[in-house]
Amino acid sequence: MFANIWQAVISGLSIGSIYALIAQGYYVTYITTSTLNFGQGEFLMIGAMIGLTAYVVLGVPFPLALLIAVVATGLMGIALERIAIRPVLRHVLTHSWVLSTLAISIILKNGAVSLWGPEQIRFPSPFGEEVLKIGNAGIFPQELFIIVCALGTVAAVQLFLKKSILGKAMMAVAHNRNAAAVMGIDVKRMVILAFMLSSALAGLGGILIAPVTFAWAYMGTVPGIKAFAAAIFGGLENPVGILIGGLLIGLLEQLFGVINSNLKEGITFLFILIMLAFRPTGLMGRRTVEKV
Amino acid sequence: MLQIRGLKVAYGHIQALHGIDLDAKAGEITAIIGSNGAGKTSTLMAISGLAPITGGEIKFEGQTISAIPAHAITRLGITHILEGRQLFADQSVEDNLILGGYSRIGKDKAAVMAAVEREMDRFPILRQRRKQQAGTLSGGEQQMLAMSRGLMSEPKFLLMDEPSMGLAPLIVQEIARTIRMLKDSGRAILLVEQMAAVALGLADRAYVLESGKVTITGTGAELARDPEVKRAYLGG
Repeated sequence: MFANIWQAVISGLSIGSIYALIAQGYYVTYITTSTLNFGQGEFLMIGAMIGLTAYVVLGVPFPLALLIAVVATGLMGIALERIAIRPVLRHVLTHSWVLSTLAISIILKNGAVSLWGPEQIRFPSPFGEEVLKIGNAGIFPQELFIIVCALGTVAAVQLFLKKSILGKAMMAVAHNRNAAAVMGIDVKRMVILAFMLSSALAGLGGILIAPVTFAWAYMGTVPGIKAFAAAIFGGLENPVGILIGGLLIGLLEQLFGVINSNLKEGITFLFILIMLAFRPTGLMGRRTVEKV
Repeated sequence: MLQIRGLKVAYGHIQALHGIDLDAKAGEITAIIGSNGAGKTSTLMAISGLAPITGGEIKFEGQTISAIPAHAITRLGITHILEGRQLFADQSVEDNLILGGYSRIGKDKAAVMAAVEREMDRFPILRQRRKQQAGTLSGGEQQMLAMSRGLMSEPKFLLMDEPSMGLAPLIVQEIARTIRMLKDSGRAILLVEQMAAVALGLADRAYVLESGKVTITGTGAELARDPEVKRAYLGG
């Protein structure tokens, strides 16, 4: 029993860090445009499928395959902004972006099925399938790689936003578009950058998680929803809250899975419902004081 | 330096400016006074590329700028210091200043950092508050930061919207002194103010806007003597 719990903790942190990674993508587009890409899960899937094609089919070394997946999904993010976001945001008070990003996600799913077929395809881990013994739990090296890589990326994104000039400019757009524009910041370009970053984060999540879950056209839907839950649960404008939210959801579902694997997702979301009733703005909802 | 001819601005069906003419000359302070909703802010926003222009023309140093996006207008040497400070409240005082120099930081970072120090010499309180979040400053400090941030891009032409808004009289005097110093350093300024007495005292030339139209123009001193202006804007 103890070994099971210990194993669930590692698996939970691993899957949870993927949710946190995708949820950071929701965060960057939300703060800059007040929109979310509801196709984030499908960008994860595309990242996994492109990674699979490069690594398994074409035999490209794994680090290069990872780079290809991230760059390709990043470029698709630019297309997403152009096709699904910019046209509908011409009207300020619209919610059409919900539909337009869902439309993209369905198109991507269909496209993936016709390109790669509907089967679940095994994605061999570059670290092998040998189980590591930590204490008395068996852990896949890929799970540890996921945790390091995903959390490292989340930290790097935060460092970029807080310390680099480009990141500060993006935060300035998030805070006040007009003020940013009169500083000479090209708002349109920052929005494109946000969607590129957001999609690339999902793509990275895809190639990281595929060796654990298999790669297939429908693999992104559920992680996309759970990452959305992590973003709302953590507090959409709070990157630290989102990180905690992602890890917590991963941990909860894996721990509940020890008790009853059929009910693990149901119980996790029941827990989220209860939490939201007490804290409607999420775990660490934004409360800033601003003097006028 | 700046010529506006027949400028119209509309937000959807709401017409904010009905075709105004306005000139601002190099080295001068030009003031626009008028009541709330007269179109003062819309005029400034049209110049800086933030308001939807539906007719007319704006020329800056001979170049038509009516169709240029806001970020590119800043690069031409026009900076708009927005109404209500509009600081990046979550970011530090220093970062607000650095972002003010964003348009030239790629070319010359050292010059931007030197300008940060220069602005902190102009308003020493900003140096004390350097690492503090801009949102935690007092109203007067925020206005100083907003002005300094605007000066970071080394503008030739400054648009200032209600710099005295919500400030104590002593601080208004300090802001007015700074505006005069900026003029003396060779910058042209287009100033929008509700406090008509302050604005007319500073202005070389002034315009009265009413319901999106220019109704009276003249030198600052002429307008200050004008009985109509006295009655409507100077409290008798």
